[in-house]
Amino acid sequence: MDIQLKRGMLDACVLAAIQDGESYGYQMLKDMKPYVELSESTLYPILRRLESARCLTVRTAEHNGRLRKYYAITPLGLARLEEFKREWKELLSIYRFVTKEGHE
Amino acid sequence: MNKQSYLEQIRRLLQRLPEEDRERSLAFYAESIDDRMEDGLSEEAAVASMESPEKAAEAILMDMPIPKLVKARVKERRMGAAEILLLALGFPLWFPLLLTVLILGLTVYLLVWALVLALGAAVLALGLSAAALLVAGVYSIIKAVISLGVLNFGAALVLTGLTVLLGFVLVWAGKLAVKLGKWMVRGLKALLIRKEDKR
Repeated sequence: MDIQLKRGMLDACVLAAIQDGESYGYQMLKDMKPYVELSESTLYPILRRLESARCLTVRTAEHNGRLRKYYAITPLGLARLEEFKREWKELLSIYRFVTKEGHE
Repeated sequence: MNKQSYLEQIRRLLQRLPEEDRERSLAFYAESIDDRMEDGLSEEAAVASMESPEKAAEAILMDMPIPKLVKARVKERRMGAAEILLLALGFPLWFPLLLTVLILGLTVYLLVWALVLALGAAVLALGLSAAALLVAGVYSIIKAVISLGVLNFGAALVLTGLTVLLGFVLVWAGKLAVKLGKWMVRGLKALLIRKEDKR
């Protein structure tokens, strides 16, 4: 698959994983697993990229005597997610036409 | 493999990176192992469910900006006297070659952007001409020179169409140029990382 296309999709996946509230790395991987299986090595660069694009914020908090990083979506991140949905709605309608049986 | 040796292996593969970058990346992997263990896995099983340290290190390196990779590569090189001598003697040969390759790459990239710029200028010129013709058309109608007015409106319409059409080409070319840039950066990074791993 086109690497740029896939990258955009994975960015959206990660944003979607935190759109209903902050989460942490392993939890996000678990939430996404039924749909797309990511590894830490894929997730980590995406989180860093989204952070520097200010689509999410990071905070470190203590959990069971160790540190854990929590990621929260920003308004910019939400806007990007909306844009992704809009674009794919268009693409899906094209897909439906392409796969439709019995073209005239 | 336990958590300690897993992290230690990644650390060794990343030893040429600045400490801050290295430890921040490692903390992410350590946290994930801890979370897996909290989820009920044993330490061994948690580490086994992660990808290999080599893969993790490569992903972290590919995520670093090029200047850091170059720095890391220079830092890592510990050469023998013979190697240094060879490098010094070969300087008149390898330096111009390296420079040529780098400049060639840069030239291709700039050329692509020059084309995009030229296209942009063409779109701008067409758009302005269309607007000017529209104004001229309105002026002609007001002055009751109908035939000239119609001619001007017609020409304005044609130019507007061309502007929109070329506008699409411009957007497409711009995206392609950005893609080319990203692709070149990735290629250069891969090259820097691969050479490091050979030794």
